[in-house]
Parts: sequence; C-alpha cells; structure tokens
Amino acid sequence: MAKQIVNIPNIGDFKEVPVLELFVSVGEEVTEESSILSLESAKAVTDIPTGISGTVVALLVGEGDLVSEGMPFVEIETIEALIKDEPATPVKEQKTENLNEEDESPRGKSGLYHATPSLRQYARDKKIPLDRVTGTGPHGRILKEDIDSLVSPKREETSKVSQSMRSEDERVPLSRIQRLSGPHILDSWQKIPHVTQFDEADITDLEDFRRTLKDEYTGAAKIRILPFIIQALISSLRRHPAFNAEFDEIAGELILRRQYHIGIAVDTPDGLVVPVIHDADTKSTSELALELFELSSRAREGRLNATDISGGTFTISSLGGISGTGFTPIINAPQTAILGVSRTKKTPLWDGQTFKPRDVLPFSVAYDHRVIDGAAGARFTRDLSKTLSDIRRILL
Amino acid sequence: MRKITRDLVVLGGGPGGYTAAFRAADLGRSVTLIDKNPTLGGVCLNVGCIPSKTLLHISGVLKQTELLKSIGVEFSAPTIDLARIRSHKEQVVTSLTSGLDKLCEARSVERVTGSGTFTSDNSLLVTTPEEDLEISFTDCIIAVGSRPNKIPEVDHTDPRIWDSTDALALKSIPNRLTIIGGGIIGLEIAEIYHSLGSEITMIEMMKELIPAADKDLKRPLVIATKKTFSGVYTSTKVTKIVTSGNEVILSLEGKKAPETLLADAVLIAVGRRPNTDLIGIEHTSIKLDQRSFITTDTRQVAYPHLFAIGDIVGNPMLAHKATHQGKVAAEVACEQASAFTPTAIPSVAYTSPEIAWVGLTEKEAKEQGIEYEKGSFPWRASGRALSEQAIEGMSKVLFDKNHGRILGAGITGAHAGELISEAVLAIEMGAVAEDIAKTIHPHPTLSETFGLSSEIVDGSITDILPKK
Ligand SMILES: Cc1cc2nc3c(=O)[nH]c(=O)nc-3n(C[C@H](O)[C@H](O)[C@H](O)COP(=O)(O)OP(=O)(O)OC[C@H]3O[C@@H](n4cnc5c(N)ncnc54)[C@H](O)[C@@H]3O)c2cc1C
Repeated sequence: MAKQIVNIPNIGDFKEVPVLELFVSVGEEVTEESSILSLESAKAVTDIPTGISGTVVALLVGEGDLVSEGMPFVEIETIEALIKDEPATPVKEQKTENLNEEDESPRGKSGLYHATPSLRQYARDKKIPLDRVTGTGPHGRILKEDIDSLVSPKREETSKVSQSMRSEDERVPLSRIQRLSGPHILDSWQKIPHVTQFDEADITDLEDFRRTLKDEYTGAAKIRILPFIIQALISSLRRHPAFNAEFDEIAGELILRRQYHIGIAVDTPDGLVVPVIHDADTKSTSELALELFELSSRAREGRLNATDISGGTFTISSLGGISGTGFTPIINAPQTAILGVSRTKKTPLWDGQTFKPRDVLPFSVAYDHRVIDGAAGARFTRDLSKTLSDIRRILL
Repeated sequence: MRKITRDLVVLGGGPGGYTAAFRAADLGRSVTLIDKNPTLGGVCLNVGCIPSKTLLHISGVLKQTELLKSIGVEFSAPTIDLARIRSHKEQVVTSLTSGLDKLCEARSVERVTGSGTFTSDNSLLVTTPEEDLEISFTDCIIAVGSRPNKIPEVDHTDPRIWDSTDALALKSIPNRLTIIGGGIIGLEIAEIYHSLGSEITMIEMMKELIPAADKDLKRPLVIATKKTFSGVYTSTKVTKIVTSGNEVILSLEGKKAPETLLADAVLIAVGRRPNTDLIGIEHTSIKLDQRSFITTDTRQVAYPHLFAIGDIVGNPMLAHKATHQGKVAAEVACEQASAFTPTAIPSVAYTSPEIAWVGLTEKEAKEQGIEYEKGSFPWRASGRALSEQAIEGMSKVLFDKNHGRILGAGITGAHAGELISEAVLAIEMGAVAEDIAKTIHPHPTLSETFGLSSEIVDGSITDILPKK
C-alpha cells in the first residue's frame, strides 16, 4: 500500500540495455526528478528518474543488469503513504476466518495477477516476490519468462581465450558501442545470406557541378558528395522497392517501405553509430547536407537520442573519406540491402577516342539473397551507377 | 531417564506428520516419528475420514436401493450385522495403517511410540510404555492434531454421550440419536446412523447447517434431512443435558424446537480444538493465537527449527491441507524454498447428496464486494444425472468479472467430492470460462455439468437456453 514499484519508462526503441550506474541506495530520499540510474541505450546514456518522491525501499536491479521498458527497477515508499500510515486509522482487516494462507495469496490482494503452483515455486526459488511481477500471459497470468526477465543474468565470464594470454599481450575492453552493437551485427551476418555486387559510377559531372556550389554553400551547409548519393539512391530505390524493405521471416513476406529513412554509418571515437535521416525523400540536397552535418557532429559527441537512431529503412556505409576500392558491408537486419561507398579515384576512362581522367566512385551493394536475386541486385546497382553518373536522372 | 539426540523429529503421526516424515526422509534427513498411538494415520485414518467414509458407503448404497424402488426394482429390508460392519471398517483402517508402517520401514524412519511434551525449544520428553525418554533434536515438526470440543457441564463419561470417535466405533445403534452440531461431521454421522436404523434429531446453534457453504448448494441436502430426520432444529441452543435417567433428556431453546427432547444417545459434534494444550508448548518460544492455534509463516515455521502443520495451525481442519503443509515443512527443513500458498483448498461433505466447494463462495464474493459472473447448471438437464437418478444436483462456477479467471466453484449431487477436483485445478491454473468450456468433457458424465456451467458464462451453452 505504502510502497510503489516504478518501472523503466519508454525511452525509445530499446531492449535489454545495461544499467551503467546506480545513483541511489536503499533508504535514500528521492524527489520526482532524482535520477535513480543511468542506462546505456544503443548510443545514448540516459538517466532514469523515479517520477515520484519518497524513500528508496528496494533497488530491483543492479549495475550491469540488462533492463527493458516496463521492468520494475525501484521500490519507493511514497511520502504520501508515509503520512497516511501514521495516524491510527486501523486498516480494515477482512476477517478471513478459515485460511491462514492469506498473507501470501497467489491470487494477489487485488486479484490482478496469477501464477500456477509450479511457477509460484519457481518464483520462490528465484527469490522474486510475485507481486512484483507483471504477468504477460493470458489474462495476466505470470509466465516463467516474466520471472526470468527479473532475474539478473549471471555473466559467464571465463572465456577460453584467456588461457592463451601471454605476458606481453594486452587486454582491451570493447567500447560500449561495440559491446552493444556486436550481437546485432553477428545476428544479421549469421541470419542473412549476403551477396555483394560491386560497381562504379563516373561522377565527374556531378563533381564539376558540386564545385560550382563551393562558394554558395559553406561551413555547416557545405554540400559534400553524400547528400547527392542519398538523392540518387532514393531515386533508384523508388524504381526498385525491394531494396527499401523489411523481410518478415515469420510471415514469409516482404514489407515494402513507402518512407525513406536513410541510416548513415558514422565513425565516432567510441565506434560506429548509425543516425537516421528520416523522410530523406522529402528533403532537398542542401537540407540533407545540413542534417548530415548536424547528426554526425552530435554522434561524435555521443549526444544522439533514441529516435535519432531508430526507424531506418536503408543504410549507407561510407568509407569514401578514408580509402579502399571496395568492401562488403553487413546488412542492418531486418533491412534487405546496404550500400557501401568507397573512395573516389581519378581513373583514365576511354571515351571512344581517348583516355580521359575521370572521377570514378567505386561502391558495393550487399543484399539479402533470400528476397532479392542476383539479376535484381545487378540491375539495382547499375541503376544507381547510372543515376550517379548523370544526376539529372533523378528527375525522371 | 534415557537421553538421546536425534536429527529431525516429527511429533504426531497423522496425515500431516507421516507425510512430513516421509518427505524429509526422502530428502535425506534422518527422521524420528513419534506418536502416542501405536498405529499411524492419526485422526484421519483411525477415527476420522476413513472410517466415516467406509460407513457412509453403506448408507449410500442403501439410499440407492431406495431410489431403485421408485423405478421398479425392490429389495427386501436389509439385515444389519453390526459386528461384521465394524470388522470391515477396522480392516479398511488396518490395511491403510499397516501400509504406512511398511512405508516407514522402507524409508528407515525411526518410530517411537509414546506421548511427547516439550521441555525446551530443542528437546522433548517422551513417555513410552517402557520408559521416559529425553530426545534432543535439531528440527521438530509438530503435528499433534486436534480433538473434539466438549460442552461444559455435560457428563462426557456417560456412555450415551458420544463424540465422533465413539460414534465411529459403532458399538450399538441407538433408537433415538440426537446430534448436536450441524456441521460436516455431524451430518455424516447422522446419515450413517439413520441408514442403520436410528431416528435422528439434529440441533444446530447457527441459522443454517454447514454455515460455510452456499445456500443453493445446500438446498438438496437440507430438503433431504428435513424429509428423513425426525427433527432438524437450527438457531437452537442446548441448555441442559440430563443423564441421570434411562434416557438422556435435553433442554432446548429455539424458535421451532421443543423444550425438551429425549434421546438414547447424543453425539456432540461442535467442532474441534487443537491439542496445543497437551504438549508443553509453554516450554518453547512458540506463540499461540487466541484460539490456541500455533501461528506460522507460509513456510510452516513457528519458531526457528520448529515447524507446525495440520489441525494445530488453524482452519480448515482437513487432512489434505495437513499433508500439503507436511511436505512444505519437510522441504523447508531440508532447505528448500517451499511455501504453503494454495489458491484454494476444497471442502467436501460426503453426505447424500454430496456437497463440495472450493475457492470463493458466492456468499464470500458478495461480502467482499467482488464482482463475479455465475454459471449454474442444474443436473436435471444432464443425461447422466437422469440415468443415475441424481437430478437433485447442480454445478456452479464463479468467474471474476474483471480479469475473467475462475474464483470458485460448488457442486452438489452424487460424487461431488470427485467432481470438484477439476475446479481446484482450474483455480490453481487460473482458467477462464472459455478454457473450461472448450475443454472436452466425456459424455455422458456428471463431470460434463462443470464444463456446461462454464459454457453458460462463456455464452456458448446449447444444452439449455443461453442467458440473454
Ligand atoms: C469424524 C471425522 C471425519 C473427518 N473426515 C474428514 C474428511 O473426510 N476429509 C478431511 O480432509 N478431513 C476429515 N477430517 C479431519 C481430519 O481427520 C484432520 O484434519 C486430520 O486428521 C488432521 O491431521 P493432523 O496430521 O493435523 O492431525 P491428526 O490426524 O489429529 O494426528 C495427530 C496425531 O498426533 C498424535 N499425538 C497427539 N498428541 C501427541 C503427543 N503429545 N505425543 C505424541 N503423539 C501425539 C495423535 O495420536 C495423532 O496420531 C475428519 C475428522 C473427523 C473427526
């Protein structure tokens, strides 16, 4: 009665993220705004407040525990409750003559939760009080998974690698972004049969045009090649909708996206992050340039929020700023394809009469071979190459 | 006095005690089981559940022959050989209690026959026929059960003043048997003696017989008792019982009751009290409540290393509650995370018709302001009940209006005690009406009526007209 359990609020699209730090301990007084803990969601560190004032009665999670939205994390004895409990208004005790089981009735005081006898035992074994568990089964029944989700996972530490360590070797912990994104990358890599198609585009004309804008768009507004690539890409995606799609494996259906939310892989000191330009198809090239600048600077400062990094329908990984002639990017599941952009290179091209120095952009498209076959992959890649080589094609 | 040290001691070998002893032995403890009675099984096996059901079987079959008469099958009046009935009943009891002896032996549970009283939180004085024994123990599970309440100022030593044990001893069949107390035990014994030829008068202080059960469930039984017994007086007090003459004279006080009543025997069945006053509980740290029950937590722990189970921890005083608590106590003593947290404990009156109920009764739901939906299926509409001449029954089930899960159920009619188990399982599993309605019950059976009562709430009933 006096106590209130607070659940992890919705802080964007996240699941099973680790608790970085606990700020309070049992017995401490907190206000509505006090942060109880900080969470490390995909790219941002978010502090979670209680939303109510009172005294911390129990902390239901520990540092390093993985939490998801809706999970109880702290029990607060509210100030109101404390005041209410003081005066000698005796709580109306229902006289339950015949059963002494009432104190831990599995039906719950409110009758709002239920667990079968074996699960009640399981909860006891796991030391999880049933009244703290939200039943997700039919009619609010508490399931084994509901109890499991409250048990902090024991991290199985001892890896085999450790045995091969030598004294001169050094152990370097992964960055938090690497730790977080690793499982998803592995999952995408293992689940999706990738085919990577390589191609190149002669972007000399585009680069000439871009040079004419140099004085007009400066500083943050400067238009690099990527905004144009996005424009060309959207134009090609419109003609090849299977590449701007999501694969619903269970239904065995392709969900064609009518929106173009383009994720851009950005290199940051902490590791790779993928902010998303939402509704990129509705934006002008200069708007894209500005947004890209803004997103990547925030990414480097680690200030992206949950919406910045969610909802992408297609991803571009650009290593053009560094080097390379081609690479095989990993699809960002459940998307169906990814574009890998390499470094533009002056290349002598035969124009029929003579070799001319041209700006050639090598790129690759990796696609999910379960839903896109080789010919379609090649056609899309060619389409993109043609569009980049003659940007006027986006008007078609 | 000999002093010995033991590991886990169980005091009392009734259903609670022997179950605890066996479970603890199976979990690896070295167990000593103490009972003052050389036969195990406690009240339940020796003078309770089993003998009463053995004798009720006779009344039940005799009732069936009455019913057959109405459809053209007539028997001549039965001859009753009381000695043979008694020895049959004793055989049933012996076959069960000797089975317990074998189970004890097979598990290497040490037996001590003697009466035990506590001398401290970790020692007992046991008086056996041969010697006084002081047993020090690590853990003790207390399961000394209960005994019948007595009425003050009544000479209970008079052979015509019975308690349930005297009645089930079946020494004679009195012409007029008056039963004080219209609870389950009183009604069951009334039925036994009625079928053996006694005239029965029932006296109950409360407004109704079996006060805990819902009215609609009791109705067929109440009608049957009114038809067959010489008198059923509710809201009636016995003010005096005189045993000096040839017949027992009872003075009554109640609206419809006569002022005096003559009887050849009087059964006093006015509840039971825990045996906590006979075991030196004052030498332990255990606390008793106002009604002398031992208070425990859900792990059956009364005080560290002292467990209490069964009738001594409170109502309902039922064997199946005692056995489950026995397991919990044994498991907790063996460091398992067990607890006694049933959602519901079923109750059964093995009368004819039988009455069984579990979980929330309608009465309780109303008192507690819990909104429920009720499905009540009259056995008149059941093919099996018609073929069995059992149309006086009904099955009803209550579901919570908010979350839809089953809250309770009640069944009256033949085999109600057998039929109620499905409802107990449904409650423990948190079934909703649709779950039960869509569970295929065999046809034609009485068990169907429980499915059909759920169909009423589910709205899918076809056997009767659905609720609008
Ligand atoms: C007539 C009748 C009919 C019943 N019918 C039913 C029924 O149909 N269904 C049902 O569920 N319940 C029924 N009951 C109730 C049921 O018998 C009890 O609930 C059950 O026996 C309780 O078990 P227990 O283990 O707690 O104690 P008990 O069965 O009372 O056993 C206690 C044991 O402790 C021993 N003991 C007591 N004091 C000492 C001591 N100081 N030292 C050593 N040993 C001691 C006794 O000898 C006894 O063996 C009936 C009871 C009666 C009287």
